[in-house]
Amino acid sequence: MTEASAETTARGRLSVWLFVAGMAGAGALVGLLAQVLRQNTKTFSGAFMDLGASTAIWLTIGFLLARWIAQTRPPRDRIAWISVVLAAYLFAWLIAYHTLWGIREQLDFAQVWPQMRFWIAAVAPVCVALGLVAVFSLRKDWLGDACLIVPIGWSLRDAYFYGHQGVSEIVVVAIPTLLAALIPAATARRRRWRPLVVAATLLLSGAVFYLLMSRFTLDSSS
Amino acid sequence: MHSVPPRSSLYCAAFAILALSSVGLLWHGPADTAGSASSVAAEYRKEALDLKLAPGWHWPTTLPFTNNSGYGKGAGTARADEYWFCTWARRALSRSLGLGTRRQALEQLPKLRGTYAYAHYIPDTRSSMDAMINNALRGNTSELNANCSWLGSAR
Repeated sequence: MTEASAETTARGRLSVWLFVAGMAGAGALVGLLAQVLRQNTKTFSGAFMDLGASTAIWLTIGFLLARWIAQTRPPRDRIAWISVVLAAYLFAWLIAYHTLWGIREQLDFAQVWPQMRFWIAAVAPVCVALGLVAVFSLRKDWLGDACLIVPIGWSLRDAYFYGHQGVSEIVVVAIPTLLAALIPAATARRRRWRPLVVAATLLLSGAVFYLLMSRFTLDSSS
Repeated sequence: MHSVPPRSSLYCAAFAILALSSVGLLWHGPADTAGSASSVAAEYRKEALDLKLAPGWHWPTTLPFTNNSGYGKGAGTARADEYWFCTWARRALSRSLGLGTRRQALEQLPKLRGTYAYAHYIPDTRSSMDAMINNALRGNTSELNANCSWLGSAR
């Protein structure tokens, strides 16, 4: 290995681990914020509590960060590395969220772990799926169209569920959740959308995530 | 321009992710500090001393705790709180009572927020209970009815 290539490799290793660390930090912050919103019943209204316990908006934040990172990465191993940074975000979010819950509720690890373990188990497949969506959303073809719409699909359930609970939930949870999910599609300027792909993706992903997230949300981790 | 990190880093990261997710999938965690049926029943009885049930209701003589199950600390206290809550809920839902009496019973429900059970609910349960109480106060008692249907009628 030449001196130049060794330096390039070291720089590459450093930059990607910086992204991983940054995403872990972002995930931890998001997890702590979500749990603070969730638990501070005296400070925040019920709508903010719902925001803390919701899933889609926090997932979308991680997705947006990962997508931004994907734009800066070279093509080689990009999906794999974006999956890794997403895993860092998801692990940190879930661990911070549940850990703060355990601390505030004075629970033992033995009581917290059963609530957290299946979420942790889900990270491996979810980070790969989200990594694929994040990277493919950069494409200009129909697959790119579909991947730009998927975040809206996974946000529909939370928007619908919390939107039914009152005006404050619509303002605090449903609208921000949908706005965040719209960011990838809204920022894709001069894109020639394929309406059929958009409609089919919205319908399919909305239905799939509605079923999935109705069963598996942080809002029902009992 | 970012250079590509070596594959070995990627393999390490993938291994770490798989390992952590596998722990979540396969490890049930340390044994919970479960209480025995008698200790949970003692918690229940202690909590019952501080709670006033709705008129016509009495604390059960036989408690639903068995030694076949493990109970977390405070499970008995929480169960007593829930029994207390549902006696007032059943009264609020009783069509044989006058509107004023039912309204008075409804007004007891927010007191759940001061109980041990509420303080120790996981966030989603707390949110559901809040929504249920708020809806009941607004006149929509369907969730309340479903939540406390296990209690039956006054005895």
